[in-house]
Amino acid sequence: MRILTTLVTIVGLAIAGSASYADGKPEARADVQAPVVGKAAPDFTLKDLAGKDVKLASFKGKVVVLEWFNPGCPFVKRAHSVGSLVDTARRTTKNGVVWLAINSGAPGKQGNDLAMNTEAAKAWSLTHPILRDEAGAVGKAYGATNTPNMFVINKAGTVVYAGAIDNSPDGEGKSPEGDKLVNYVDAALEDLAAGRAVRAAVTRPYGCSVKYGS
Amino acid sequence: MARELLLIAVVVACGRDRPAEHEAATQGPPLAGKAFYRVDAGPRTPCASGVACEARFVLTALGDYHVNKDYPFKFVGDPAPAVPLDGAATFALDDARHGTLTIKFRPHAPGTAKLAGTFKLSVCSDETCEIETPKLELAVPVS
Repeated sequence: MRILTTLVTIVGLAIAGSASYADGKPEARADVQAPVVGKAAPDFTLKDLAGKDVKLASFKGKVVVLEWFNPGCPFVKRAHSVGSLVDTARRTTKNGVVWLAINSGAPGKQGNDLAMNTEAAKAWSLTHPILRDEAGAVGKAYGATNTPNMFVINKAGTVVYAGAIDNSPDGEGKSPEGDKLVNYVDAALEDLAAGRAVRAAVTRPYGCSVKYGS
Repeated sequence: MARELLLIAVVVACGRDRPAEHEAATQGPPLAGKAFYRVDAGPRTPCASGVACEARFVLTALGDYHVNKDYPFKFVGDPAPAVPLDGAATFALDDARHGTLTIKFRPHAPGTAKLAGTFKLSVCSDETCEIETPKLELAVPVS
């Protein structure tokens, strides 16, 4: 009996140990808020790269997509150069959707540099605003954990989607789960346009952690 | 009591098996690597022509980096004259800093099978993530 008890204890410790290995080191901070799907989108006013104020509430009555952005993140680079973010913003804004990229990187952190953001916008032909959230308050209000991390807000101002841009966590769209690439933002916008509830309202974002300050 | 101690020793020894493999794998120069990661050949297993063989590559995250557990690790085999692969490679996380890529192949003749391809991998630190695509080559003796 004592042997059995010892064995159970050892196996239990081994399992606990392997679980901590499997978890790895968290990519996302634990103090950011949970996703806000189904709730009113937190309002904000942030400055774009030219220093002009952009207020979310000014887009009332329109569908808004928020993209957490870091031009130094390899996943963002791939998504914008070969993956699911290539031309997606330009294509959707032609249909009246508002697309706002938000950089919540703190000063001195990867991707915060103003010139780097300007160059990225030019390199990837981004015509939508890139907003600076250096204090990270907006990122935390939405529970943004990764770059890219996408949120879709419906015309009533409710968050209806939060998660990844797609189901291919390589950022390139070349390794989709289930072998079929799904652009979750496109799918959410299609659902809204069809007047139905967003079918995949929450997915797990992938990519770099948002580089919040301390 | 003696039997319990023996049991504990066996379990502890089994638990240390992977780190010992990692230690052995990283003794020589890596097959590929940078300051924040290295890829080494894993333990060699016997391989005969006409049957399914396995080759392993060990990824080690260095310094402040850890293996990105969410990344879809992949091995893309080079076209001929490399040995044809037998299905998709699999990647298993061994611990926060190590993972093992296993490639199955079926050599047609005895001699040396040359495996060659691109390993798509990702490691992260608290500050950044990196995606790397090193080219790997490994010669496997085939009996």
